[in-house]
Amino acid sequence: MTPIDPSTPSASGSNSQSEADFIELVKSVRSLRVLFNLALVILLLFLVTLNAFMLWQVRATRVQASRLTPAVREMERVVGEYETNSVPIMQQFTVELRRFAERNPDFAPILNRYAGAIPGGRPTNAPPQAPVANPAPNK
Amino acid sequence: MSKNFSITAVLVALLLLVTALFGAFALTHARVDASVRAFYGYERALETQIVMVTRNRAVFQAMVNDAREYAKKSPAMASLLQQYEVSLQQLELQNKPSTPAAPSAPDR
Repeated sequence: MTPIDPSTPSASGSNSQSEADFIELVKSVRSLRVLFNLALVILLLFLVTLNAFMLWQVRATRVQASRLTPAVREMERVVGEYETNSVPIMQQFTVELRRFAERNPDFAPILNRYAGAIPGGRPTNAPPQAPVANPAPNK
Repeated sequence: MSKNFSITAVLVALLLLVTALFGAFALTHARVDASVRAFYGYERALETQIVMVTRNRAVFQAMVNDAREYAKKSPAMASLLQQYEVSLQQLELQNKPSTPAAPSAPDR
């Protein structure tokens, strides 16, 4: 910027003009700064709301899983009890019945009705593996 | 002037902090969601097993009932059943308590 000589008449008008421009510029910068701060506040509020929502989601998911946990434990107990107590007896008895049917052919048709229904091996597949990280207990 | 700058600086700092928190929450959410999905998968597998167990028990009980019916005209079968009577009664007792009705997975 070139300095303006205030002694010249035209310079006085130009000076007041530039002063008005400067004041206008200051006002603009001030209002821009206010707008910028306002935008920051709005963004901040939005992010805080989003954080609160995510926190709520995580908690709700954990509560849902914890509600399901007792039923899962009960199912685990039933399957475990079946695998350890019932299956050996069932297999042993089935083997005895097969031997009996070999000695008594008239029983074979009765047993054949259940052929394949009670397999020789484990009656169920291997129990599923429990998930490594169970989210339910830790709230 | 400096007051305005300090407000802006505080706001920007807060924004950075909240953004970092958001990243942390997003990671936690993803981790919890993955483990909950695994949990639901496990629960569904257990439900399938319970169905198999119930079916096998019913079939076995029907077979035992037929054997008992056959034992009325066959002393050999009666003696075989006599050997297993205690075990079979235990099995019948285990069959009687109804298996828990697993709650269906909530809509997610």
